[in-house]
Amino acid sequence: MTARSPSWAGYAPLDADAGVLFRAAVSDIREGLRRRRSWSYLAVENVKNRYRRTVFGPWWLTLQMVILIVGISIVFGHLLNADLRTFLPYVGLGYIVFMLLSGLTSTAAGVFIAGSSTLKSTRQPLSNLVLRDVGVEFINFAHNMVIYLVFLVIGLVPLSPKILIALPIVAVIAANGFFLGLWLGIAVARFRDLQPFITSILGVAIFFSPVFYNLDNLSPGIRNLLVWNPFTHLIMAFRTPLIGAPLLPSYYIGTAIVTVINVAVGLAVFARARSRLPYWVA
Amino acid sequence: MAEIDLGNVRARYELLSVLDYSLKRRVVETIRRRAAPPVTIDALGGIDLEVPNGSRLGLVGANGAGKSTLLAIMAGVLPPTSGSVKVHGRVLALLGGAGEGLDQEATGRDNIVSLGVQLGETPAAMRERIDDVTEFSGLGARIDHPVYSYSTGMQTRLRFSILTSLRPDILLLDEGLGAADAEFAHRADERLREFMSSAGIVVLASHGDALLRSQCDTAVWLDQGRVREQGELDTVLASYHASYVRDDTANRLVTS
Repeated sequence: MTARSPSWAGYAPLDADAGVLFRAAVSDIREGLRRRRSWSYLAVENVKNRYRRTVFGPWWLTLQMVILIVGISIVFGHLLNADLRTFLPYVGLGYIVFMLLSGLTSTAAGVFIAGSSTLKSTRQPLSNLVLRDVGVEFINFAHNMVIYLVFLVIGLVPLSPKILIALPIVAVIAANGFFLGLWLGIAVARFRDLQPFITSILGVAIFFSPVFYNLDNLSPGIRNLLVWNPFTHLIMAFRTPLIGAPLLPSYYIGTAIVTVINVAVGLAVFARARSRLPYWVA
Repeated sequence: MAEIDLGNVRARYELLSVLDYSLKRRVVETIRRRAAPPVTIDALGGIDLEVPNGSRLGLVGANGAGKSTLLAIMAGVLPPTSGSVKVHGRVLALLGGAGEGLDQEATGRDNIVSLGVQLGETPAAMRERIDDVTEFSGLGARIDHPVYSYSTGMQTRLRFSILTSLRPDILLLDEGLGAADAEFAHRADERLREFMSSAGIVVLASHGDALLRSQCDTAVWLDQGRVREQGELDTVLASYHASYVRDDTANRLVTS
């Protein structure tokens, strides 16, 4: 009967010591993960509501993506003198995963601003709000991955056991989206001018990510610059096994470094600022 | 067994203006070494309060006395700046504006499930409750309309019906049912009584004496974030009303 399960501490007072705040944050995350039926339901509802009055629902996004991928592949393929049969899946999968990363980042930034009414009136783990938003992005991603299935069927990409490497990478991307929400969501709730800043960064991020072009075709100077873009590593780690290109360990080392930093920052910021958040969105 | 135990609970808000929410300004001020700490407001200044099982507690006090902050802390949606909060039992709270926590774009029916799910119920358990909640709320066919098309009173009715269908041990109400109509208020009253008879705690913050008298037997008078008086409802209400009448006379004596 009691909803206050002993495992979930709720908020710690603002002046609690660091250990107490950290344990409260971890118990929030644990309770959030335990309520997977809650946030997965809310994520599905959110997508359904968003497309209630449309015929194609989220497939509309997928259709838009097909148009974009085909258009870009034709134009850039011509400019770069690339073979469309290899270039189309390269751009396609790159763009699909880029849109996932970009979507995860922008919802992470707004998660606690958008959820302020909920978190002020409904007692629930804050991680629940983030998990719901991550779920929404992955529902869209799953729709877009139908494009990949088409690539498979028409033989543009190889069917080999290597493609299974992409699965744990998808899980790693989900984890990154979650921890990003924990720290970026809180940072934006405190410093509101971060949100337009992030929007403008995301606007140009695609040009600094290996979506349309191949890293190998870049001059070493530019390539070294792209290494600092976290998206680069995640895109390469995800796409390379799916298109059957040679796997380089550097993609996975890069992904591991990005993830470790993101998780550490996420835990640190969430533990420190979680109790303050309701005062900032008040 | 429901119980609320507050020990030296303080809540201090920082007055953050639009500029205080700017990272750019924070960076510039830090470089110029001009960063001034923001002005703070002590919404609650050390509250010790025990609310035992079976309490029907009214919160009275002027605007800004800390009633809503205290309810938010009891509800677990706001942590205290310092102090200890112990709450045993399932707490549900009707706080904030009428539509707070409702998805305005979704239908009333969808909101029944999604609000319940956010409060820890499973979607299946909430779907089973849809008919009961709809009936109690009296929304009829409107339950299939999006919530933004509801009046304030209808949104309150929906939230109250959802929350009480979850059988909380502790129910917290800010200004009762506000804009709900008389017919609904009557039914809500019955549900509250039924809920009270099965033990539990009701805490109600209100400026309406009639509402307080119908729901509460004890009261706490909050004054500038502190407990000024606590006890039988009638006694506390009498002192509270006497205070501003006396203040008023005092003021008039000064000005005349």
